[in-house]
Amino acid sequence: MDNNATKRQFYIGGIEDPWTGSQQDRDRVLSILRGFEGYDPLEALIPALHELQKEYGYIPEEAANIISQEWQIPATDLFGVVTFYADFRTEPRGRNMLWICEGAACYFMGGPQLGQAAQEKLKIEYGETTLDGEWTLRRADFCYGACHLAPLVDLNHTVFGPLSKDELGRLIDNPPKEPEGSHKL
Amino acid sequence: MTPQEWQQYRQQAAQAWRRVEDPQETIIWVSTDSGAYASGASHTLDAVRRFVAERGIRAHVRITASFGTTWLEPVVDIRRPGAPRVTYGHITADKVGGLLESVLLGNDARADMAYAAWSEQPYQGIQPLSATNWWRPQKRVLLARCGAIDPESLQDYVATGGYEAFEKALFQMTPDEVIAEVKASGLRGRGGAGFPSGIKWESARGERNTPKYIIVNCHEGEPNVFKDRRLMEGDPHQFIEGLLIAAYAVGAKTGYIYIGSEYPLAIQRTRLAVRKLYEVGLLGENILGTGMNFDVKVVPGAGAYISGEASAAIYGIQGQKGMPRTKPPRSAEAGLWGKPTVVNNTETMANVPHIINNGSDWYSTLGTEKSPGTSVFSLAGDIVNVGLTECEMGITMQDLLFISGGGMRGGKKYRAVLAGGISGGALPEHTLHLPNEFNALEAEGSTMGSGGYIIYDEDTCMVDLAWYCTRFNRSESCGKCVPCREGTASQLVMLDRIRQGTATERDLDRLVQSSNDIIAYSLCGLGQAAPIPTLSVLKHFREEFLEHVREKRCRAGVCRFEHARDGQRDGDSFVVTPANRRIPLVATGAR
Ligand SMILES: Cc1cc2nc3c(=O)[nH]c(=O)nc-3n(C[C@H](O)[C@H](O)[C@H](O)COP(=O)(O)O)c2cc1C
Ligand code: SF4
Ligand code: FES
Repeated sequence: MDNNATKRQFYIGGIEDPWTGSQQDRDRVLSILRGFEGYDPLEALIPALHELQKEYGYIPEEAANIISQEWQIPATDLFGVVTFYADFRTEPRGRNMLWICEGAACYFMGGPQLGQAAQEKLKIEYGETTLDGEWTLRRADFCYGACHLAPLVDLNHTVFGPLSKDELGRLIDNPPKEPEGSHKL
Repeated sequence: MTPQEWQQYRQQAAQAWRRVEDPQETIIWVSTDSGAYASGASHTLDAVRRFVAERGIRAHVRITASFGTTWLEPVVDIRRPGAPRVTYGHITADKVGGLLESVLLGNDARADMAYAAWSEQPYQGIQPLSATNWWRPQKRVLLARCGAIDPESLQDYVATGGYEAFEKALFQMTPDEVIAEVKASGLRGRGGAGFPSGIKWESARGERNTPKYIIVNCHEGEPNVFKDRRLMEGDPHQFIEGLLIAAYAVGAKTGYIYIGSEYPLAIQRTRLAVRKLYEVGLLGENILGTGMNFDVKVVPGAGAYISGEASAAIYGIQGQKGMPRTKPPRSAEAGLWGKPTVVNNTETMANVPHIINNGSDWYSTLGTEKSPGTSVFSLAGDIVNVGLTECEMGITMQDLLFISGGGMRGGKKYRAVLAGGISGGALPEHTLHLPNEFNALEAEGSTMGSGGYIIYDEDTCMVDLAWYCTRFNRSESCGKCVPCREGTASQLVMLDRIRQGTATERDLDRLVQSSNDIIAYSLCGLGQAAPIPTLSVLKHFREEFLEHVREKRCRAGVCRFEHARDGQRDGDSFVVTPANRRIPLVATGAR
């Protein structure tokens, strides 16, 4: 388990992997699973993965293996599900999560320009995490249902829009703790 | 709950609702749905509550969801005793003090901040709602409660006639009569395909295999369609009542509500609604003493658009990869867990209580002969009134976009509407006389789809539009069949060459050819619809393509032609995006 830890450190720069593989972590997974007692394991799988990801920011491989054993779901099926759905990540996420909306309204109103500005500023591409573990950047192909604010971004579940490139730059420089004028979705 | 206890609950609800209708008390409504929250409605709500408490004002502060005016968010409505309800737009937290100060204490209705008054006549210089362009073409059935009730309150729903249709079905009609009524109404599915719902129910009812399931498809992963979202956030009990009626008609024991994970508030409010129904005994065992048992589970999706396809949704609920499968067997024969299953869209279900309450005759007076009823349209893009509007089927595109939608923003010229969202086609100006109903837009290469319309002005490049739609379909393709997976990828390359100015005219013919192949040989609706935007743009905006190819000119000024070199081609193995980044052509479905 220790050599795993080194591997993780390498891959996400300086930040600690929230999953350490300790007994405590394993117990936490088991307690998530216990929350679904009485459910068909298959029916509970996706909700359970959501909870796991809420806890760790991604789906740790060892945690997935625990689910596979406990619920008798073949690991191939389980990893198939994890990689099929866009919601589930297989790598730790950064402390800040920035989504750029490229829904069919935002795309044509400046979404890609915001995306490009963010990529250049953070020096990462869509789907990647900065080496210091601060930022994960993603492209939203869905729409936030708030097209009146196009083009918009979603920073840590808070929507900001309409934004210019400069405003986005300032937002990245100073990610607000409790932002005004917007709301946690 | 026995029927008697339920009637008592109904009376209590009516009693409580009197407070809302009571003209003795000032009522302040703050709209809280995802569109409003994005604009800062939670701060507005806090500010309203603080103002009322600090000034010791006797007022009743309520939450509602938006009644469709998303472009005005955050919206606050105020009704003072003896005055009509007035809707105010763009009331961010900093404006709350000024507004409430003058309206509640200064006796000034603030016509400058108001959108409309809910009255027949103008009120203090504020136009009546019925005179606004946005409202005039509308016929509100499904959205009638949105903006009026508190979406988190079962009492509000019951007090406004909620669950009367379910009672009527349960106590006065046989399941066959319910199905006959839905069939006679001509209700067609609102999820995109327009399949008659009564027929679907009938065939599931006829199946011997039990137990049977009903799924409400609330996945709605298509960009810029947010009508189901608002129906869930604004009036969740309405479609759940439809689900209960469907369960009674089909004889199902369990219902699933499958909601996309992009919709946290909709999931939250739907879960709350289901929990309250269990509390009062409208769900669970022996419902209202009739012996009917019915359970409902709310299941979240996980961010794959394709999981909205009916057979893929079934796999999604079963905790598997949400990939469509070949039919037959149809879901009505072998769906969820291999049992007969009805899959209906949220809006379809929301229609059902109205049909049972008012009868199929009433329903068929709405809309057109082939597409009865109303439809909720989501309007977005370069249009003034971004939001929802509910109109009768058959309303012309012109009325929908230029009256209810308020026309183009900033005085720009209209270029196209992407009707039916990403799976529909772009329609130019000369087709705006077409009616919005099922199978009416197909002749011009588009479709009504699920009623999500995105409007584009002259600054939009139609080649870019085709590229964008293809990219979406490419990245959302589940990868099961080659024509869809590889065909969209190669179209993306071709379209990108056109954007970059490295294409030849032969590429246009190739695009048409490959489009036809993808449509013909794809398994599910995604592949079958993926080339439609491209084909419609090629049909209606061909000269723009030719300008790109021949003159290396983009009239909208979007394409930069940085890679244009005469007689030379980009490599075929990757696509150059505007950011000049490589997208590898492998099936990842990555977002
Ligand atoms: C790619 C794809 C995505 C779909 N997404 C949805 C969706 O998000 N919501 C929905 O209700 N129907 C969706 N459908 C349509 C469903 O397959 C199905 O026709 C519908 O849920 C049936 O309900 P209805 O008869 O009430 O329309 C989708 C279809 C395809 C091919
Ligand atoms: S058409 Fe596309 S989305 Fe549909 S099953 Fe085939 S590959 Fe999957
Ligand atoms: S497209 Fe970005 S919010 Fe709708």
